[in-house]
Amino acid sequence: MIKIFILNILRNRVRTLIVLGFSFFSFLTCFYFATNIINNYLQVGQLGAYFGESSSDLYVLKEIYVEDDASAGEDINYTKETIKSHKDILAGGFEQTDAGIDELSVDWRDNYNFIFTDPEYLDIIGFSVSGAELLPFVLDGVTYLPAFVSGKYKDIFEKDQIYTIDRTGAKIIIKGTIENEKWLDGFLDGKTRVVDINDSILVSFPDVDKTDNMTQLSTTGCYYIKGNVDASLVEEIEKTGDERNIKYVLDNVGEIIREQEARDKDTAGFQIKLAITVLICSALTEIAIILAFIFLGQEEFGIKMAFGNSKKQIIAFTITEYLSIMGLAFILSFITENKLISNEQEYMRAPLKSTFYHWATPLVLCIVILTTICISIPSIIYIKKYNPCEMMRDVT
Amino acid sequence: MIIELKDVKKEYVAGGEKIEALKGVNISINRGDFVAITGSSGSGKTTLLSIMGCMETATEGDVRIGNRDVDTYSDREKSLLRANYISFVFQNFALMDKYTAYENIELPLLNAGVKRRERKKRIHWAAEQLGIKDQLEKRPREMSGGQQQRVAIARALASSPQVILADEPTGALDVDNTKKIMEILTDINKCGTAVVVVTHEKEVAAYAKRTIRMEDGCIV
Ligand SMILES: Nc1ncnc2c1ncn2[C@@H]1O[C@H](COP(=O)(O)OP(=O)(O)OP(=O)(O)O)[C@@H](O)[C@H]1O
Ligand SMILES: [Mg+2]
Repeated sequence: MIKIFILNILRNRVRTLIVLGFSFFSFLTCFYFATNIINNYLQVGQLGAYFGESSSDLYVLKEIYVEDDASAGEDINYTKETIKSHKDILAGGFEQTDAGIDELSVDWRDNYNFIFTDPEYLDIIGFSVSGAELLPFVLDGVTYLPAFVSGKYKDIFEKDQIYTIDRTGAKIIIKGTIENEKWLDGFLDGKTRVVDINDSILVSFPDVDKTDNMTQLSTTGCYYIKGNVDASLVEEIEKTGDERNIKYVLDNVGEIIREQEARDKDTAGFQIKLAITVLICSALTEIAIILAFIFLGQEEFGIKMAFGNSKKQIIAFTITEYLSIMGLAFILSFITENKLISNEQEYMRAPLKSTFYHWATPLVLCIVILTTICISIPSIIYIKKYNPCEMMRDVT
Repeated sequence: MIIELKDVKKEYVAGGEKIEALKGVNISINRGDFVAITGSSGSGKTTLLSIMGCMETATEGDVRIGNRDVDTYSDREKSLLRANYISFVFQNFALMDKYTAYENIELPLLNAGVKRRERKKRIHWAAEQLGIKDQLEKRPREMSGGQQQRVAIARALASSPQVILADEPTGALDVDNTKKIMEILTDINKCGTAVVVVTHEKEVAAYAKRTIRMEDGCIV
């Protein structure tokens, strides 16, 4: 039976290839857009969840102009200290970077991922580790930074063990682990993602970093201020900037997320329209091609009926044939989309793959079934109406 | 009795107009029969054949096949009749272009549910009978008219039917091939299969044991 089937598809290979090509293209379009749209939607949702309900009175500090890079560390820290001096304000930032560890690294390439953060930032986002747990303490004149590890680092770092960051000489002490937590990937803008914390060490900034130029410049886009942010505070921040020739802006986090939502919605609307257009156009083309081939080969139905096939069998056979072509197109587009995602930037892969498997695939599968039905109906009607005796009287 | 038609009428409606193709036909085909049906164009010969082969249903009258009223057969059963009880041979050969001769002959056997090995045996036997053993891998387009009609007869023969209904089987053939094809049909008939041949040609009708003449939907 399967052999007959494959033979039949080979016999009609021109038609099969055309239909397969159109279906592949339209299913791939659906896969691509569905994955992106759903992924964007999920990502924005995660972003909202990450910042919690507080995002409307949460602001992010960005510097848009720095005159003197050489003193930027001191200058930016000056502003941050000013902000922190307000009792009703919670403010903090973070930096993701890598560094060697004296006790573990064999050479300078042997680095570990760090999330350096102000303890206050953990309280702003409501992290599972509280800010207080990250506060440094002094023992015998040495400052220790409590640290938490995630992912595979849990097997590398021992609890209550002390390690030394090679770049700054800061001592960290492992206090616990982080499970299933997310972190913001870079600066908060239109493309920000919330990603799983993979292998990382979470620790507060060593004192030297607080005035380090590089560190401070890269944290301003990730510096969050929560609480009573009023005109006077904004003015104060601007004033500290003016004193040191730095220009700051404050953006509302809730607004950034809303803007991103709106942008995603616009893109989604456009992509959905495009996908539907592609689907309908290719389905119509496929129907036209299939009907043309059926019309050209209608004598074959008559012959089959004259030698023992019933109409039902022919219809069932035809539907199974379309179903297998569509199935093949589905598999091919699935593989292609999978490949496309694998070529994406690394941080995008995991969320895209997850969306692709859990949401886009079932959705496209429904579209495949729907398309098969749409394509089959005209053929079924045609075959049902076909009178096999036409073949008997059609003398060539 | 293989096929029996009693008072069979067939009406077609074309463009709002009723056409009476058969106006009460009585005919029975028995085991070993060799019947020629002659008559002018449009007299209803093909219609008669299509009703005998269950390709169409009569508007009125009784049609019995295998001593059973055709109305009691399901669609599936009627299809099965055409796979192993009744076989057709057509003027235009009615071979499927995309299939080889072998696959064309295989069609009714497949539909009758004959197993692979047995199919192969029967196809080779039928091809042997018709002298087309070396043509089995060819496609219809690669064969002459005479060869194609042999393939078509092999297809009709392979399922060992009770009756072969042939609608102008020699209509597209030259004198030589006509003679050969009719000799083959005569041989098949001698082995017990009933043969019904629709034809315009006296020479062809002469092979039959009895001849029926049709005129304007009636047997005369
Ligand atoms: N599907 C149909 N719809 C309408 N009229 C039809 C149909 N099939 C046959 N007819 C009509 O029925 C009549 C008998 O047709 P039939 O094909 O049986 O004739 P025939 O004797 O086989 O003729 P020929 O020798 O030309 O093959 C004709 O008048 C024909 O026009
Ligand atoms: Mg005719």
